[in-house]
Amino acid sequence: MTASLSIRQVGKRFLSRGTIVHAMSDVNLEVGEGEFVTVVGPSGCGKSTLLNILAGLFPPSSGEVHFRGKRTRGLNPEIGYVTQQDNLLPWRTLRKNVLLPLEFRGVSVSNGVAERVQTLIDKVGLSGFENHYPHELSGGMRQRVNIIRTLICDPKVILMDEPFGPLDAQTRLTLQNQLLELWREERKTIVFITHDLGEAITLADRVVVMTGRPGTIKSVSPVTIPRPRDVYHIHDSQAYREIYDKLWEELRDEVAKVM
Amino acid sequence: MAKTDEVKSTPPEDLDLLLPPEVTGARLLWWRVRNAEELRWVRVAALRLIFGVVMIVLWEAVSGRLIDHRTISSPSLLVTSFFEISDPANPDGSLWVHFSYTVENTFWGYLLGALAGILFGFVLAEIDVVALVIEPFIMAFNGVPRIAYAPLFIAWFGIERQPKIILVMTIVFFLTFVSTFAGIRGVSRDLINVSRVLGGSKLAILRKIVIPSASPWIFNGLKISIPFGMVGAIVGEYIIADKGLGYLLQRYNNEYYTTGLILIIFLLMILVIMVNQVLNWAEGRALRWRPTSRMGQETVIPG
Repeated sequence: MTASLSIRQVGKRFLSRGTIVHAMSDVNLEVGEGEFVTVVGPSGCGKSTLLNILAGLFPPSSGEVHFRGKRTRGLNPEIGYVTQQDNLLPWRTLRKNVLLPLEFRGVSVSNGVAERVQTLIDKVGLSGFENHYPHELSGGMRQRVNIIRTLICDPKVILMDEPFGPLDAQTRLTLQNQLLELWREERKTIVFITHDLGEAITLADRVVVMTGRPGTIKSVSPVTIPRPRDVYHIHDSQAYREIYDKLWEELRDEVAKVM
Repeated sequence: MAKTDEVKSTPPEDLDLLLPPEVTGARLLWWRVRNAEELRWVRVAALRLIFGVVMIVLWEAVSGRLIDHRTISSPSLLVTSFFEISDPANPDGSLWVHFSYTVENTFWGYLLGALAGILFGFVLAEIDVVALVIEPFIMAFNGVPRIAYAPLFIAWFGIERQPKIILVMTIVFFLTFVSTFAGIRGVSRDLINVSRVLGGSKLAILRKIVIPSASPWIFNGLKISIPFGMVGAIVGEYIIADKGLGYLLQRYNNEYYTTGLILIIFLLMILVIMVNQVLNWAEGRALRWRPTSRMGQETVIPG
């Protein structure tokens, strides 16, 4: 397995109200090409900070991030970022929101591009809503638009920061299922943060457990449940229960420390 | 893939389903007129018309009977003096000469003030240091009642148009500046970061994210400055001028000519409403994406 992203000794310190806060320290992780990695940890453990660094929004205080063997500095067009809030532009229709990154990159909307946009819209079940504005869509629909807006540029890596956090349980399952299908077809490398351990196991090739602040990696566990997975029934399987219990043991200590 | 969630919107209700079954004939028709959603606008307009007519009739009835017509004038007096004053042969200059003088001054002051306000708002909101340094100064200049500047402007710029235009400018400038500044400062950080990750250049983000995000604020500033700007023009003329509606107000006041005073008040009302309609229309077009709301369409008239 070749490494897509490699995170080496990454740490981050912030100045907050006059004191230095160690958000993260000594994070080491290799993410393989086409791998699906999920990250869980107590709140405030620097999960989002890690993604912001991987996205290149700000530099780490220490350590390095490499993408396909090359050290990254600043934003990288090969890396897409799906945020927890959908961050759609309220003055643009669904389709125009999906087109935004193409406009940013100066891609003219040829037939081929329009077709790809439509294919993605259809794939996530949003056909018929192309000309709706975000306020006319439900939370789940908006989050799907957010995801395909990231996919449209065909990034090699997608970072996802609790993308299904604000959604209700049923919608979340549907979107997990859709995400797995998209991932199987497009074979992206995904780093996915969640506070839901079940979601982390359902989706991942490997689950990363982080410690409380300063956040660092406590364990990395492979999920051997075969694919394709049935997101609606995976919770009943023995393998799922075993890994859930094991990871919850690890996570519980960290959560207890923060409380 | 099945859709699990539907678009958020209220389904159109079948009104007749809400009705007791014994209602029929003329009562049914009347009920529909009272409740049909499509007729809402017509109902409101009809009620407003009735209200306005009742007020005018009451006014006419009271004037000269209960209250001296020299104090409160009357609708019929207004109509006759309107034709007298607007006559081109009027030795003081027709009403329209004064009207267009005020409108022109307001227009130029408004245009220049708004352009400068929006421009400064943009620049200062983008440059933190400048904003930090200049803020207390702006608050200080803005805090002074605008009328206090008028004598100084007259001393500097004479008694012609310029001091009036500049007075309007200063008023409109601060209002549009403050709202533009707040609008740009309020643009979501997340939205900008997401756009950066999606490959947006600084210029593209300004054009596609910042300006549209701030535009409701800018429109709001433009709208609230209309009546305030007009205050500037009128006050400028009231202090010293030989033309304009403010000059007429001052003259009629000296002559205790209440009909003339009330006439000009109505004229100003009509003017503000018209300009406001134009801006509402422009805003509606520019901000079509916003969820429709019935609030926030009216302009506050300053005291």
